[in-house]
Order: sequence, then C-alpha cells, then structure tokens
Amino acid sequence: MNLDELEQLVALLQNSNVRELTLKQGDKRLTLRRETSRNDLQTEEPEMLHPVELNGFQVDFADEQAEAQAVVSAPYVGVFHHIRPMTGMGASVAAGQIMCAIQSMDILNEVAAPAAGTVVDIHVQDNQPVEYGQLLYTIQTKED
Amino acid sequence: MFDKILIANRGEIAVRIIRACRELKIKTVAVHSTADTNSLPVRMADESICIGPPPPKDSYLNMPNIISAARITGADAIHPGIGFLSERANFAEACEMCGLKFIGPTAAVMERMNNKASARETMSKAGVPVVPGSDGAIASDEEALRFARKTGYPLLIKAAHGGGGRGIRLVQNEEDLVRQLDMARTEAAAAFGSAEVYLEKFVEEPRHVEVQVLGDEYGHIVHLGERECSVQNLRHQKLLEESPAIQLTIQQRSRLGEAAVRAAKAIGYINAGTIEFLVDARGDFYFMEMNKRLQVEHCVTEQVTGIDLVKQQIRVAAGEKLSLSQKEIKFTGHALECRINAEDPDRNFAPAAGCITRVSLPGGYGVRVDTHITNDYEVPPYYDSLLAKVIVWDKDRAAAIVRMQRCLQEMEIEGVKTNIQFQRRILNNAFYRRGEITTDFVQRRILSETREETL
Repeated sequence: MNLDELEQLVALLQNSNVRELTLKQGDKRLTLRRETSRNDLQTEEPEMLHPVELNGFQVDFADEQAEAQAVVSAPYVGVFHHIRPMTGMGASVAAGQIMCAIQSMDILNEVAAPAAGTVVDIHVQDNQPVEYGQLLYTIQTKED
Repeated sequence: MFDKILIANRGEIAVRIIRACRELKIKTVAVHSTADTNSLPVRMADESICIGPPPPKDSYLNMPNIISAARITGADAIHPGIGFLSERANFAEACEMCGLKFIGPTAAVMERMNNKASARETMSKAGVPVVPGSDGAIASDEEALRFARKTGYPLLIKAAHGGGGRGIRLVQNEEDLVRQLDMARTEAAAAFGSAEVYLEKFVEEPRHVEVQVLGDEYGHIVHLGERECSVQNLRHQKLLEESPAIQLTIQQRSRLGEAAVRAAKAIGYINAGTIEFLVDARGDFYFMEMNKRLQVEHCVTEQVTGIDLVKQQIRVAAGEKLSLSQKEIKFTGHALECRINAEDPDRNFAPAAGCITRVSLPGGYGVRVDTHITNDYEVPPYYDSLLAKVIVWDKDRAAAIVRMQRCLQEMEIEGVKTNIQFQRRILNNAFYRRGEITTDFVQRRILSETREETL
C-alpha cells in the first residue's frame, strides 16, 4: 500500500462517523482509529457500514455492537440439551465454561463458552435437533 | 420400502440420487458442508442438514455428524453415493448398529475386498482370471526377486491398500525392483496406513473394461454388461467412458459378464458393484479390483440397458428381490459419457475453482446431462472437480460420437477453466474413432500431439 492510498483511507475515516477501520490483505492487517469521546458514540445511532473494496483491499468497518458480542454455534449435529444448572438468560459465563451439551450418536458432547460474558439470547430449546453451525447463544462479552 | 433416505454426498451424484428417490416417492435429506449450503442438491432435497466445515474430513467424512443427522431427521437409510464414505466398512457397520440401512454391500464383504491382496486370492479361487502376481503381500526382497525371475519383467509394485491409481510403480529390471520396493513401502505406509505391497505382472497395451453387477439379499446376481474406461488422464482418472466395450467379440463379452457374476457370487455380493478388468490385446482379461459402490459412469450402462441403477440399489437395500433375470437384460445401441471437469488441461489438469458466471447445457434427442452446476455456482476448492456428465446414446458408436461432438459444441461454461475442448480433441482423434485405445491413450495419442504442436 502506498502513501496515496493511506491518505484516501484517512479521509474516508474522517468523513464518516466510524471510529475504527481495519484493513486485511492476506495476513497483513492495518487498523486506523479516530479519537472520539465516549459520549459522542452513545448519542449517535451506530450506522451499519458494509465492508467495501478499496484498491483491491478489503475494508471492514468495526461495528461496536458486534464487537462486544460473541456467538456460540453448534460444533456437532445432534440434539441440544441444557445442562444443570441451566445456562439461562442473563447467566454470566467464564471463557471455557460448559454451557450445554449436544447429543450425537448417544454421546453427550459438551459445548464451552468461547468468551466470558453474559448470556443475552438463547436461540434453541431443550431437545431441539441442531445442525452444524446453528446459532445457540449470544453472549455480551465483558469489556477489558 | 424406505420413507426417507439421507444422501451422504454432494454434487451431481447427490442430485442423481435425489431424483431416483423422488420418483420412488421417498423423502430425502441432503447433508452438506458450509461450502455447499446453497448447492443444488440442498435446494432439491426435502430437508437439509449442515454437517461441518468445508474440509471433507470434517463434513462428508464426519461419521458421527452424518449418522446424527439421519437420526434427528428420522431417515431410515443412508445412500453413500460415490467416494467419501461409500467404501468404508466401518461406516456401513456404524449405520447398521444405529438401525440405519446402508445402501450398499455389507461391511464384511467390503472388508474382504478392500485388501487387494486378499481380493485377488478370493477371485483366483473362484476361477476368475487374475494377473499373475505374488500370493499376497511381499514379505521380503528375496521373495520379490524370486517372483520376478519366475514371471519376468515389466512388473508393477502395488500398495495393498491403495486405490484410484495411486500407489503403483512400474519396474523394468532387478536393480529397479529392489530400489523401488523400498520406496513403495514407505509411500504406502504414509499414504494408506499400511506398508503392505504386492507384485503383479504388467499387462502391456492394456484396456480398462469393467462389468456392472447387481445382487439382491437372496443370492440372485446379474450383470448389466461392460463399460470401456480406457480413456484416462495421467492420474488414471477416467475421462470418457462408453458401453458396450469396443473391439470385443460376442463370446469375449459374455465370458467377461459370466466371470463378473462368478466373482460377485464368490463373495456373496449384495447391491450394485463393479468388477474392473484389464483386457490385453488378444482379448484375454484379468481381474483388477472391485468397486463396492455406484460408479460415476453408471449412466452409460443405464442408457444401453434401460435400467435405473440407483432405483435398483434402493429396492435391493429395502429387501426386495431383483425383478430382473439375466435373459431379460437387453443391450441396445451405444452410449458415451464425457466427464466435464473444472480443470486446466494446459496446466497438467490442475483443478480450477471459482465462480461459474454462465452455463449453457446441451440437450436434445439422445442426450442426458447429470450436473449440479447452475449460473453463479461457486466451484469450491475442497472437493473433486467434476462439474457435469454429458451422456449420449445412439444406434452405434459412430453415431454416438457425432452426437457427443454436437453436445460439446453446444456446451458453454464461463468463469472457470474446463476440459470441454480437451474432450473434443479426444473425440476428433483418429485412433479414438477407430477404437484403438489403451489405458495410455491420452498420453500417447493426445498429449504427445500437443508437444509436437508446441515444438
């Protein structure tokens, strides 16, 4: 990437209400961040921006909302089971904590939380068949 | 009959099986990886279940997820299709243990035929000619040399657990033999998990002819004629198949068919299977191996016999008796199949992935196209490169060739490289048209021609 392209990117950032943007190309990564106060962010509705292509680089706009959430999806095909005690709405989980089990060929496979946080959504019901990748939970992750 | 069948495969063969199920009024479950979520079989099936990420080992070879998918959807049988789990004895066994019917032969039969050395032994005992070879795996260099002195060169070293043309080495003399034996063992251990190798006489100028068999659970076995599969690429993958085989007399053809039935009976074979033979210049044939599943080129057999092989597979698996006697099976005309692959013939047939921006398929009288591709289809880089099979039939071989040429002229695929032009060159080749084809046809008659052109 050359200086011109970098300038274009900075202009793009300044003329938007986006706080941060990340560029990925292969294994190279460049993040540009704009200084803003917390208050600014809270008064503005976050605007959804779709990834764009810029001179062959993929540009992802960081979405504050999405970054604070983690999803738990089914790593196996089978029947979803709550465990005891049940991981319910509002439950707080630690990274690696077992959240539920998926029964596949009579074996109960445990599913662990990918990050620490609070369960804000449960997308399946007890005994529901699930496929690979099916959304199970949404977790509001803890800020560092 | 089954209520619901799960298809443990992808691509054109999954489409083929769904079609047979639909005509039999059987509901279908398509399983798929995350790379195939929007594929045609997934859209066609009554239900679909995602079974894992793109790499085959995590999805199409993921036995627990596939069996689990059958259970949660209430399927009562699994059709494994071609490749993937179709010849895994432990998968057939796992299905049966979970109360699911595996549409194919029993695990015991598969195990027996999966080891090539023991398969040869079984065939030889059943009176099916085998290529002169070592009795079972070679234990030492001395044993190999003894066999070589008795049989003569050239010889092939083959991995006992190899397949698909892999794990084979050609040796011309004693010095070669000892050196290559060592390499073959190391290679076999790495590639197939077993260092067992055996020796075989190299049949010169061989043709690859295979016979389709079909057996029910009551010991009734018939054959559905042969297929000529000598046109193969450098990796021994078939490119163009036809039925009946060419340059065989009626007597030779019936001897082949009888030998195949004898072979299938000897192992108590159930369901559809194929016995592959090498045929030499004189028309003598030798058992090569058995494919214990449906084959890509089954369509040419269907077109000359009028028998739907996939439906027969399902019926037999459901415990029905074969309704066909050998006498009732009639062969009409000549059928050809061209495999259209996403590959670059100019780059050593390297598989090509990418988006098919536009596709236009051939059609008309005497034409069948089995495919899963559509406009805007993304060819995933994780699986085999087969895009479509163009099958034609007519009263004789010459007429079928003309029809295939017309089809390939009509066929257009944009966005990915394909072997359509390469197939047209084969059909135009004078040796091919005269039926002078051996398994090295592509290398000898087509690729050598390319080299001359570029010089």
